[in-house]
Amino acid sequence: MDASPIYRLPQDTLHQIFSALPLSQIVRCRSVCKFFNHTLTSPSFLHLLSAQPPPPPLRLLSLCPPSPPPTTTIVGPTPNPIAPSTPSIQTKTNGSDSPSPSSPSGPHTPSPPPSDSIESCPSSAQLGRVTARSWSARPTEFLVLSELAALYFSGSTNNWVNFSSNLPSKPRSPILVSDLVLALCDVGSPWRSQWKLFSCTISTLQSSQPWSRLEKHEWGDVFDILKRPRLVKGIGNRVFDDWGFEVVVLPERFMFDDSDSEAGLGDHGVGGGGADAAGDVPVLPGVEQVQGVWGRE
Amino acid sequence: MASAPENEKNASAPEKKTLTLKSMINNEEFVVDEHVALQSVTIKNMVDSDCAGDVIPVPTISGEILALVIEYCKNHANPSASEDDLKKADAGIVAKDIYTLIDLVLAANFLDIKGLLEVTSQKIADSIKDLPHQDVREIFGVENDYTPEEEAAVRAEHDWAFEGFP
Repeated sequence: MDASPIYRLPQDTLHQIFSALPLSQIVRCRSVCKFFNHTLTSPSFLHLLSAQPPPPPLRLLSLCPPSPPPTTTIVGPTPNPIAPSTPSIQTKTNGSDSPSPSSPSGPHTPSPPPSDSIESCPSSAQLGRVTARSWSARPTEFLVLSELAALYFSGSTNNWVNFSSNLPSKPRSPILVSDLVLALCDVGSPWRSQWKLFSCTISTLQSSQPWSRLEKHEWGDVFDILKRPRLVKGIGNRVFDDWGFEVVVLPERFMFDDSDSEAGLGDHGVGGGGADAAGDVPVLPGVEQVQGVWGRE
Repeated sequence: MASAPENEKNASAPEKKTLTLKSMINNEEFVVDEHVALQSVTIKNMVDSDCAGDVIPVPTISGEILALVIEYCKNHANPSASEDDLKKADAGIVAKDIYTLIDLVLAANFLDIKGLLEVTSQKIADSIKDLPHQDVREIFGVENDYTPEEEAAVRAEHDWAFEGFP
């Protein structure tokens, strides 16, 4: 091969060039040749992408949603906080794996199989109105989150753990990624929502101030633009092997008016369940600035 | 003769110290003010450690590229240049074909001139932005060394990024 001058560039210079590109372009460039693929998947390049600027270790990269993973969802919106009805556990699988955990044992270890009720969870009463849900790719792990309390079940320890929470508002679409919990909270006024991203880990949930607010300049006003944003866990180990997961932010209905803006998402509905997002979720040309995948180093 | 050194001092102060940079590719020489050349960390290190002779040889950088580098350094050494002026001047310097840009980014890397490295890298990135990977190949003159199966596999990993692309 007649060597292109691009091969003469040192690795760090190549990294500098490619890190200036939007994520979708970086991904497309992996198809150019083996050398590019190697360069753009190297740990040092991924580190560069994720590490600029320094902590918190989450970065908004792109909102190009991958097809939804098999998900296990706990949904528990009970309409009346005074006389709570039974929140239900809903399990949803898009893949072939059944999310049913292995049978737990012990008096305080209720099993959360698909049809089971969260009522069997000893702490559900203390939660009051359960307003949030968690998606976990791991079928034996559940998190129920409200502004006052968090309830966590791990298949490995086979018991429910109850934590007090101190979120500023009802959390919205919390997701569980590894042991990291991410949720959106409205910190605005009753008249104007202002969504912020909060995070903590399962282990720090025990501390008195577990939640930290994540804000980054380059995210811009993505949450404001999206009106009612929602977090969706991407497929781990796909785009960013080193980080292990992606998190996608979607607007509630994933609809924008595309008549007057470059950032129009068109009429592609991805809202509602994950089922309609199967594989062909549109990548939105020109919306890199409002796009967001979070990766962790 | 107390006046002679005095004169010399007066003469040298406004004249400033100069350095000569010599491209080892085509032996072109450039005489530049020291403070201009010192924007290159590489040259600064050489001068600081007294490694720099009268003529500083610059390997692997052609006279054409070296001239661009020096133009950049001159612009940025001018304290009265406004931010806007500098931006315009930078844009002029990097308004080149991709091969010149790659040589320039190599030179900026070798001479360790951060600002030039950044604008050139950005310009190269801009030149492939929003393009399908086939065009990127062409622009960089890179040959596709994937088998069709391999290429399809790499692409299938992230099909979403190819939406709207061939």
